[in-house]
Amino acid sequence: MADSQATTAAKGDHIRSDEYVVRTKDLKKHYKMGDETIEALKGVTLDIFRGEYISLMGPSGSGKSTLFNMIGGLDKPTEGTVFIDEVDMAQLDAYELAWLRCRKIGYIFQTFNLIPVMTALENITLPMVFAGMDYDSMMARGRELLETVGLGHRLHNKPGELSGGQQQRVAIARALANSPSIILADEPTGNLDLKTGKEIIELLRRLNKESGVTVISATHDLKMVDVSDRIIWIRDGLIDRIQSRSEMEEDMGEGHGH
Amino acid sequence: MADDKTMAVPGGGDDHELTAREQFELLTDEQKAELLGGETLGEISEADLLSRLSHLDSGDVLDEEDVKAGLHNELQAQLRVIDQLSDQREEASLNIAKVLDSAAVNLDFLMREQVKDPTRTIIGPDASAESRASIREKISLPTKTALKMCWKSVLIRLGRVAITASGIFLGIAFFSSVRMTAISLQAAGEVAGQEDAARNVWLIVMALMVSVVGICNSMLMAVTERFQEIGTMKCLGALDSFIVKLFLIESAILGGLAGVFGSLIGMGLMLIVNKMKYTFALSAVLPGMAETALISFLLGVILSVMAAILPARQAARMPAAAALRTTV
Repeated sequence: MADSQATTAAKGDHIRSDEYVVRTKDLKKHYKMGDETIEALKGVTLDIFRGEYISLMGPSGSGKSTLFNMIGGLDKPTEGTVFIDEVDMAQLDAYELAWLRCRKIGYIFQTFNLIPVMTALENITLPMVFAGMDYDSMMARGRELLETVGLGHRLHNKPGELSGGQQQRVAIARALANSPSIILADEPTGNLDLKTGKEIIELLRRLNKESGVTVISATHDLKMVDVSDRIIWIRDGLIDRIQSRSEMEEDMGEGHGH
Repeated sequence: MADDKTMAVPGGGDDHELTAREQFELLTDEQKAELLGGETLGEISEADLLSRLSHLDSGDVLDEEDVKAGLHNELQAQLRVIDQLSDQREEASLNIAKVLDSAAVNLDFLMREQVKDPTRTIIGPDASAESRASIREKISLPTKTALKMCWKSVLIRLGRVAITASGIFLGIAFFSSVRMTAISLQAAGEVAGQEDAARNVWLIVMALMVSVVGICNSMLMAVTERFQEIGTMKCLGALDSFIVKLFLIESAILGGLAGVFGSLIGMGLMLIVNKMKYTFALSAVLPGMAETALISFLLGVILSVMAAILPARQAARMPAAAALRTTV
């Protein structure tokens, strides 16, 4: 099954079901800065299907990060609703929201955001602690996860003792600790060299195509755009346009792409 | 394998090529004298001897081929050592740079924990009451784990923690020293003035209040420094109460340690001073000292937890996005 998916994916077909994994309805967010009210989002309506690979693009200040935070349940919208798996986030209590963040969504940040005083293994097992996993299976899975990302020999190193690429791999292993069905990545390759960036994109792509994980990523990285099913351009707090991959390939012409 | 290579070096030299010293023995006395040039054979190193042998221009006693072969052998041996060293180094650097071979990653393993049931049957208004209740139990931070995390955090930030705790430490030290004097006086049969006692109480209260304000300030700083950490934890599924719990446990540990150490120092100093002034048996003051230490410990814990409640709650209530955005 996974193989057949991979081959069709290679031909550039979309693998997605008709289920919505994320839906936003007329999403607005206002920030108060002194007397001024800044409208970061001015009404964004967006549907993302299960198993899609989405890139959010737009200049800084466009509201891209705000939208990203709303989808991830990290911030509350001023108006409008966000549905995750058809569940209205506004109707969830603190426990349910925490469960959603813990078990359904994996976050990857540009700045890695590892806890500096914890070792790689402790960082990775933290989401499993919150999920209530027992100690032994937690440690076993933590070790295996680190081995999977090629850091089996770095279990007890603190983030400060690891390179940027290694830190991001720990962060990815942590995001995958509870096997999320949605991965939210905020510029995941922004602070990495080309090679590490490619590896990470490739892993995200495999997770997306072979395991059906929905990947939503805010990015500037064209390598990332290459593997996306759809690109959502955000400008001035609104969706500027949505491009599918085939449209994008036409746009870029023969000059780009391989 | 490494042994094979090192074994090969002397072996190769012994087979058919003569060593420099053996070649030296074949020379005439005249040639020997010329080669040594006033030195003794023992003073000349093997390599030096070889080069001198090759420069010796008189006669054909020296087999040039032999010398070349000897040099060649030596060079080979050295190269082998260099190869070996660089092999090791390369292996080490490969290990460090060992890349994530994404094609080899086992996705089934990664996705093993995935929740299969539709989300709407687990949480939200459409989910059953049992399911919603069970979520409350699933999301947890066991106190034992929290204690372990906080203890490690205190140990790692020891310098920072020591500064934060110094307010409580000094307040408690003062409190203990005053109590120690009272205990000593009682043991010595002296009577403290009523006025003194009242003033002491006042001083103690002031000292402890200053401590609380100080530690409250330090805790605010410590919490602000860790906004990003707090935001990250929330993304990973921490409840607000976990954040509060972690900060309170950490400040309890800190206050407890500061209380005990402050008390020991305060009492110790006063014990020495009073022992010189009055005569009393040590056994007479011991119970009082133990009691003071216990009170100090509790006081330290309570005061620093009190000081931490506000900053911790403020930090925990922050939306995750705001906490992540904050850079100090």
